[in-house]
Amino acid sequence: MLSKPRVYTLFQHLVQHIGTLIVLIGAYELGDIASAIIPLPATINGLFILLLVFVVYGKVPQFLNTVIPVYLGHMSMFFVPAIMAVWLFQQAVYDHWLALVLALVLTTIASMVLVMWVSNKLLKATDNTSR
Amino acid sequence: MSLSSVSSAFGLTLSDISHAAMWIVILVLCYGFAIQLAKWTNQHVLAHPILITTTLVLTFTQLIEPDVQRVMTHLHPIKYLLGPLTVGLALPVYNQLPILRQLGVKVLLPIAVGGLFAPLSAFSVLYLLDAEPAWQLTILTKSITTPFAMDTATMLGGIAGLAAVFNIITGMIGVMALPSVNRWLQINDDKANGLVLGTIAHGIGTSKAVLLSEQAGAFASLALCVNGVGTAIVLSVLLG
Repeated sequence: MLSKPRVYTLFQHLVQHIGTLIVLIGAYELGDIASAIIPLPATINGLFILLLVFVVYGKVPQFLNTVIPVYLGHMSMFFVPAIMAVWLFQQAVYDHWLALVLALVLTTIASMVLVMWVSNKLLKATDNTSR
Repeated sequence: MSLSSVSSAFGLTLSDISHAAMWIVILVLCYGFAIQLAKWTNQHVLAHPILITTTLVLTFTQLIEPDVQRVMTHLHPIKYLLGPLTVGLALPVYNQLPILRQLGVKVLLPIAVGGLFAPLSAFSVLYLLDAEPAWQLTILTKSITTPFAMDTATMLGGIAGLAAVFNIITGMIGVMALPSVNRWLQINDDKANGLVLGTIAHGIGTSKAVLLSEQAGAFASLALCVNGVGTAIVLSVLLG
């Protein structure tokens, strides 16, 4: 049997990407509209709309299952424009450096210790019963 | 109809479009280099693509167009797409539903404890040290996944860009401190490690957990999703 021509595969990829973008932008914009009634960020509303679709449909459509992980894997790039704003706060960061170090380093480590301890207490019991 | 008349119909000049295109190309190239660098350094936490890409783009900004705010406007299409991509997190959330159903409160409780303690303790420190109110509100989002953090910070009256920076620093500290926490508590269990990394160090922690083991990765993704959605909802409802 002849293998599918390369152009066909490329076209298929293109259609999958366009379809995924339409679904994601659609859910996000719906979430944005919903923000007027439900006081949550548009992304959270959009996420719930999409999650509801998956739960009602009973599975994730094949094309979304293929393309979304690719996008999520490269999400880092899309943060950059917003993070650049830190350049505008340079002075403020210098002024508050001690408070920031304390707030970020100490509380993060303290939170980790707490969650580790609670998880261990609760999950040790499961270890003996499951798997 | 010429290209210039199309563009002016949207209130954009050709120079706006070509500048936007140029900066998007620069961003993509910097990001491409950053992911290569992460591979070369075996995903070292200090070579995180977000950190490297932002540093490189800011460097180019200083060389080409020192007005950072204008460059941010040029990059607006990329910033917009972050919203729809974040909605895509519905897929991992959906995939984690079975673990959540199976273990229920045994995983929800540690996530909730961390989800409450991490922001409140950081907030208290800034409050006690008398930092500006906008900063105090921004740091509340430090432990949730970056896109939610930025969105929620904006909603609370905080600063999205700063939220992203606090967030990324928190994630890095989480990954770097894990071995010491393991040693100190003498606990080194994949499930607990996963929950800690996902709850406190969000996406950066989760990518580390995936390297530890499949189970740690699954628990971290679950914690990331539950804490991200939960904290964003609680903060928006209480303070939004």
